[in-house]
Amino acid sequence: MQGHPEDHELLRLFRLPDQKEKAFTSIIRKYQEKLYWHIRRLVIHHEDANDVLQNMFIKVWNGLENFREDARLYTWLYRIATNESLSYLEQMKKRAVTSIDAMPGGMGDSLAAEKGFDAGKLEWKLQVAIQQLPEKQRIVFNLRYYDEMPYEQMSQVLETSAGALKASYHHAVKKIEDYILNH
Amino acid sequence: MTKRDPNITEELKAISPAVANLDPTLPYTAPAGYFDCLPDQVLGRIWEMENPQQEILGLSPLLAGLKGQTPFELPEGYFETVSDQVIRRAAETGNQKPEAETGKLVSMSAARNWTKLAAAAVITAVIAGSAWYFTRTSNEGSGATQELAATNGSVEVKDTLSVSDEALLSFLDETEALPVDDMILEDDSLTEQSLAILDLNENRIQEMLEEIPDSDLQEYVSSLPEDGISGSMN
Repeated sequence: MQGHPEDHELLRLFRLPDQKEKAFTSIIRKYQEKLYWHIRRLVIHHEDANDVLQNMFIKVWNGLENFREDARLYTWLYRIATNESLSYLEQMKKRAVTSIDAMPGGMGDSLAAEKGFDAGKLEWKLQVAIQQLPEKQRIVFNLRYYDEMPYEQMSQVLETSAGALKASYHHAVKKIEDYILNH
Repeated sequence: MTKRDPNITEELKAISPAVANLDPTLPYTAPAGYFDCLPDQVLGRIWEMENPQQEILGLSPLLAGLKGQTPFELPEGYFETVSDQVIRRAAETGNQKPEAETGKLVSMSAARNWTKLAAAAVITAVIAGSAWYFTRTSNEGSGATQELAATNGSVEVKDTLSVSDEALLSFLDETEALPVDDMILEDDSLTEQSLAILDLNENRIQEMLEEIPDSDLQEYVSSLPEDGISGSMN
């Protein structure tokens, strides 16, 4: 990423007690936006995304000491962000089952509650279509379509073969196209 | 429109030209200045987690101020003397060293059970002896008697046809010699009446039997097992 120190340099600094916080701040600054939007596209609301993002960075702080440099930091961060987002969504689902305030339409209604939502506009229609996808396909579509992540990296994030991810992306695109053309 | 990786755009066009033509820009935004503050917010939370005093200060300054204060008073020098006090009291009450010096304390329940069983066996022996004495005196010459045998502190009744008087008197003497008092005094469940029964010898048994109506004694004997006593009742 342009303007940011290399990952291996940040990791080296993180292991120096007097540089630890400074290095961690740099890691957050380097990846915060990409991770935020990855999380936000999954959980929709800013408040939820902020919770998940902060929690995931705290996990990173606790685990970074033992991070093996044979894996890429970027991939590892995405994996934690994805897992944290899915755990958060799972908790929300469980809460929705027991709550009388639960929204019957799930994430689609959650999207409709966003500021400026307009179901007639194409950009919102795309978001609604993405929310109709099964969880795994939604993640694959987001990582490929928005983050433009190579299948090899995605394979490390999601622990799924590149071929399966390719097929998943294909199915997701077709479903989205179908939704947009029919709504 | 956001500039895209040409490979990804080509791939998308091949799958769906309609989706490839969509603007990938998200219709929602993050609050202004959010990313400037995020690192400090995260580090603030980490700092609080690793410093409990800082955490409680952030949650409630009032409770943070009260931390470490207690309304309870303690005698001066309490903790310097408490171990000596415990050891002294242990020595006074049980004339034993405290657990730390003597090892694990073992429950006395097993020993208490043994004393109960021994006491019950002695009481049974005395009652059986009384019954035997009665039947012997009322049916003298029948030839059938009971033998009472004491073995290792427990007493059992055996049916035999003949036992000498000496053997029976010897049994009663042995029964009286058992350390019954020591055992009984530990058992709160025994009444004074039952303790009195234990303090018996042959003469006292005779005196007691004279006070009991014949009809009651007959009723008692008839309740005993037939094969053990029938010979003496004939």
